[in-house]
Amino acid sequence: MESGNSIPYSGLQGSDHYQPIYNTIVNATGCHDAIDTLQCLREAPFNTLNAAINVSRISSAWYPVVDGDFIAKYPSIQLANGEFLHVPIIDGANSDEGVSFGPRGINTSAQFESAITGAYSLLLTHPLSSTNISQPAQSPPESLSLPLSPPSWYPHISPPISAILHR
Amino acid sequence: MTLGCAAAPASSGALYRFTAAYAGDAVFIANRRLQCQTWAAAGVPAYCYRFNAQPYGNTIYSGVPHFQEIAFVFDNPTGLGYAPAAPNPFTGKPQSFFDLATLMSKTWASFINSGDPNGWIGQGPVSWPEYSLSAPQDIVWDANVTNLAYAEADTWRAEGIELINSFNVAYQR
Repeated sequence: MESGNSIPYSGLQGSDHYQPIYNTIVNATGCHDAIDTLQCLREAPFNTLNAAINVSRISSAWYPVVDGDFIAKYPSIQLANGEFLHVPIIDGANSDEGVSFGPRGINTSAQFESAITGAYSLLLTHPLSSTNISQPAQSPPESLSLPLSPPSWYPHISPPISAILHR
Repeated sequence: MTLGCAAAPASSGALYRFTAAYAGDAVFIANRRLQCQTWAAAGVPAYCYRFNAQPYGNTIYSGVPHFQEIAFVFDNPTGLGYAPAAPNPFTGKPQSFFDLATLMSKTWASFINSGDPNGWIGQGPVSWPEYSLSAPQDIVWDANVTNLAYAEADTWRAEGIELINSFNVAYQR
């Protein structure tokens, strides 16, 4: 497994979240009067479908849906319950995945806390509330990040960044 | 990799090293570890890795980010399909990078064929340990080390990773 594994990098939503998006596509493709709207979409001309889907609000919305059927539960729950295919796996990640996905311009611990509870929404479909974030917020950043090796790719840092970059 | 004197751009943020470590753990690395732990607890073989070779096109402060292992797993030394979006990841790289691609792709092929990434004809001296709870290890793929790979204890950043994994339901995943 690469580029992720059973527990996805982003939070998942249920069918209730996606139904309005589906309805928007159905309406935009003229399929709203069809008896079988899904079949109508399957038969829609490419240009019609592309025009309906290729808008920012919809084009970035394609994540697995926890519908209680095809994906029964949050995958972390299924793993905890042993509800997975018991077959051998290769599973890995790269040393510096966070360079590709992390927030930029964080200079203080307060900014970091704000980022992971608010704007840093890649991970959190709904940002953590101040209540359930309290534990990591109380944990000093040093305890989360040390030892920093591996990976270590800042052996020498020019001032003035050096003072806290290694945190 | 070879490290010199380098500083990240100021726009990356003074806490960039910290935020990058956290973000990588949050999106991919913590869940990778939990998956390996889960398989080991169930008695199902899991072979886990950390890819640590830096292909052409990365800066010293970008480290080894996402996607970089692909050309090695699929043994793509000519960079087929990269242009024009990206350069050949093997541009200007020494023989060890090509050898790593050979090693990794054969290891994957062995696993796909038999379920075991080890024991194939021509395999080098490094074996990929099956993940265990008592002594968890991942294999590090690295073009700059002897034998191109080594096993390491998969216990780094344990406290933070366990914390992230404890929030999976809150993360809705």
